[in-house]
Amino acid sequence: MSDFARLLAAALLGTSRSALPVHTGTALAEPLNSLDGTPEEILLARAALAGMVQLAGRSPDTVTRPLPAPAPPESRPEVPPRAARHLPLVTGTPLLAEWLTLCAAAGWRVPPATLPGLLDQARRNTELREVLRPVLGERGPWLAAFNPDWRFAAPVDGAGLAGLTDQESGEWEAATDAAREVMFRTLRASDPPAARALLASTLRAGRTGTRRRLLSVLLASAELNDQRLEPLLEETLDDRNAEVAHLARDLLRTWPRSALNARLAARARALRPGQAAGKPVWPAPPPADAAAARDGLRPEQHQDAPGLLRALLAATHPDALLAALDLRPEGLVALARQAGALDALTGRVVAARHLPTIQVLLREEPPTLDLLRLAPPEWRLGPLRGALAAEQAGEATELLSSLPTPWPADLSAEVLSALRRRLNTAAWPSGWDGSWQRLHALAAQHADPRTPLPPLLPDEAPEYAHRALNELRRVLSLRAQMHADFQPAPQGAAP
Amino acid sequence: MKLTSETILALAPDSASAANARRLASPARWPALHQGDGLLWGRCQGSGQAPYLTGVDLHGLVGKCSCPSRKFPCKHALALLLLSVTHLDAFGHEAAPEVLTEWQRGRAARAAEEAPAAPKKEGSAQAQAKRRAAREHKVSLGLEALSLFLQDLVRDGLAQAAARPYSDWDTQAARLVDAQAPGAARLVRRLPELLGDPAALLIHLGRLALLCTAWTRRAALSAAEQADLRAALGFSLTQADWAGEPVAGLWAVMGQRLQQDDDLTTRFTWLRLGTQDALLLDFAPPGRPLPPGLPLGQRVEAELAFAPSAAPQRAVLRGEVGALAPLDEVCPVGLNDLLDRHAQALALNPWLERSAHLLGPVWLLPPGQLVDDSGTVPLAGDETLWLDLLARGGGEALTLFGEWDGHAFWPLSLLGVQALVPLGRLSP
Repeated sequence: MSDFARLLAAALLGTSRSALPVHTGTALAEPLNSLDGTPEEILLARAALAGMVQLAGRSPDTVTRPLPAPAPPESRPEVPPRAARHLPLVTGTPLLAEWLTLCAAAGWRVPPATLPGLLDQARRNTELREVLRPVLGERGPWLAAFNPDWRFAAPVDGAGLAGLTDQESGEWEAATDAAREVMFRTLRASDPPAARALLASTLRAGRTGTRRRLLSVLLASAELNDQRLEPLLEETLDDRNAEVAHLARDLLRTWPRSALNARLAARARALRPGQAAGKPVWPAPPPADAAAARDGLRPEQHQDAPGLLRALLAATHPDALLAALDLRPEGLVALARQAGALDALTGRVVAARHLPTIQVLLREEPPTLDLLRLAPPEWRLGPLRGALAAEQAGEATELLSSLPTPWPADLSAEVLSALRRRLNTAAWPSGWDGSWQRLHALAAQHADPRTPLPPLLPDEAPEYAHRALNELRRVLSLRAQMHADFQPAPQGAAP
Repeated sequence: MKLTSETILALAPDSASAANARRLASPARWPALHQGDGLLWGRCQGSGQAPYLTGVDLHGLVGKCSCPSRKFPCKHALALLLLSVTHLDAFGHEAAPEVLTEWQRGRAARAAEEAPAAPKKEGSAQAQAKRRAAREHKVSLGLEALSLFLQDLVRDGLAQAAARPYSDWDTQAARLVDAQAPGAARLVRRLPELLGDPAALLIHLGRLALLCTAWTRRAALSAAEQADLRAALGFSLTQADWAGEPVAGLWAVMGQRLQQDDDLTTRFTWLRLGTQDALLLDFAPPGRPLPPGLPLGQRVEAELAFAPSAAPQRAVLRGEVGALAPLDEVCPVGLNDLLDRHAQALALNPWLERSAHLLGPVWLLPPGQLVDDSGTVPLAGDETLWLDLLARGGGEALTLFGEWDGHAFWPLSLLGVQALVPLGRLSP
């Protein structure tokens, strides 16, 4: 027993119940034994001495685990200081995604010291993950493996059966539906094939709540490769839970060549009207049966042909309809008009982002925001200019919000001057309401940064207007510098 | 080695200033930016009114600004410094306005004339001696009571200690505060948290007992040892304590950290000259900014006066700091040598709470251990800290400057290829 352990044993019992230990055979025995006073004083003095010796005599502990392997060598160069200088300024702001995209396009990686901050940002904001991934270098995924919060960026090691490692399978079994949804999202972002495998096993044998949540995640993030899941989803149409079956249908109709779309389109073909005396003659609708119910058609929709056609136009991918009915988009729109189902067709066309039909609708019908937002940029310019001229900020924001960044140069200039005009004339903050503020934020982040800055306002303009315009100028010039920083250095320039 | 954005932001009096400075560090906000003659100056566009005129004297990194902020340096001065690192090409060479050159000349003149302040008179010698005797009497009574309390504890046995009501510990601590021995009171307040760890509790009690015994026998101690004892008991330092011969030289600014207590922010700044470490403490009450800090990773021409101690460590700046110079050769030590150095300091001053070391090469063993060929010690701080170190080092060997508190190493800065960089993530 060490000197200190003897002392501790005596101290725990107390000097009233135990005798002071006698120290023998240690380097400290002699000085410890020679302290004098009452037993209590001696015990405390010995504790002071032994404690101090422990503290001062400490040596490094023995290493019991191996060091982690160092990060693999980098394959792409680190972003040069000239371009890196803006990273701390944009971290935590909406401009971060643009900076990361520029960095990825230049083929560079972020400075290692910024990795923890960026990974934390991407943990909270899943949209950043995709743009962050290419600039993490080798060290990013290596580092992410040390923190469970950053698993979305860590390399996936040996995914086991059904897309999960053994350990994760255990976690999965124990997790709530909500926790499973999070795990599935994470896996889907880091390893889509593993996520599909997990989905397959869950849809066949999982809890209803889990099935529903996983399908919702899939629906919100569907990608091309997910079409491999079609047989599985087709099976799921027979799911005992109506909501799960509904989600599976919604997924299947997003793929033009799915069997569900083919079946629905075939039903539509049988409903094409004939002509008699310039009026459409509708065939009798087929009776409602189990197969129709399985494909999502309700009995009350089978009352007459136009009603059933309306349901089919709302439910079927436009490409499948065009192929089955051998129509051009103009013909499809005409058919919908005949059936009084233009709104149903429009809904599906917008959901499927079917550009050819959108263009026909825009040409032949009064344009709606829904359609314009999906139309090619040049189709949007007219209505957009109209909205800007009429100072309709909400509508302009809608039309601008899906344009790719950066906006065309001339359009950017028009938006900026509309904003400045409004700031200069709106005498009260109430004239600068939410819709204008949204347009302001949108323009700051997406206008072409090479657009000349809007000139400062005259001194008599109100304080809030100055502040808003200064902010616009600040963000635009910051973005302009960011873009300039990522341009290749001119030949012969100093390094 | 030169200034970096990180070292500049470390000069900020608080995190809000640092964040605002980063927002302002864009040439678009500065209609005028110029440099020359050791001075940076510019005009910063506020919100519509006349722009602020901001200048930074590179000699000492002190700023002057026409803004109403009472923080020093203000966000404008910090932003100006940041711009000089990131956007030097945006700076012109126009002469500074009179008000700034005047200020710069004034600073230079003051620095040249700076005379050591005469120690303040603290009443007549007789009154002083009387006050001192009264205080020592109070401390003696307080420590006698503490000593009896400690003896009670070990007589009854530490196994019984946990059963005592919490008010027992509180009362003891409060008595020591009344007895004007706040240092001892602080040690007593730590007792309840050690109740679950008898070994640590016994060592802590031994330490308190040693404090009592040392006070009773203080006449046998040297003047320096007495000073260390008084510091451990919580006597505050007086002007007379700083009267020793100051040490002048190019002091390397090695590390900095902030400690946030309930009613006080304390900044620890570690300087090093040769083998001598110096600890500067700056204090600020809540809501008030700290005085300007020193530039990390630079050497500053400075005179330091040390508090009396057998192992001098605590110091204050005499006058303003002068010229800056880059860091030169540094020699890191391994874990064994670090523990040796700490033991040697403890031999001189058993109350020593922490010592500073440049440690390397060491490797990080997640989570939270430092390893070299002699073994391993724990790393202080949370996972943010070691993840940050992993990111910067990539699993390769590191050289760290930091504090050893007898139990764990707390890294404050990392010696990189280009510079000594402060650790701790900057809040976005």
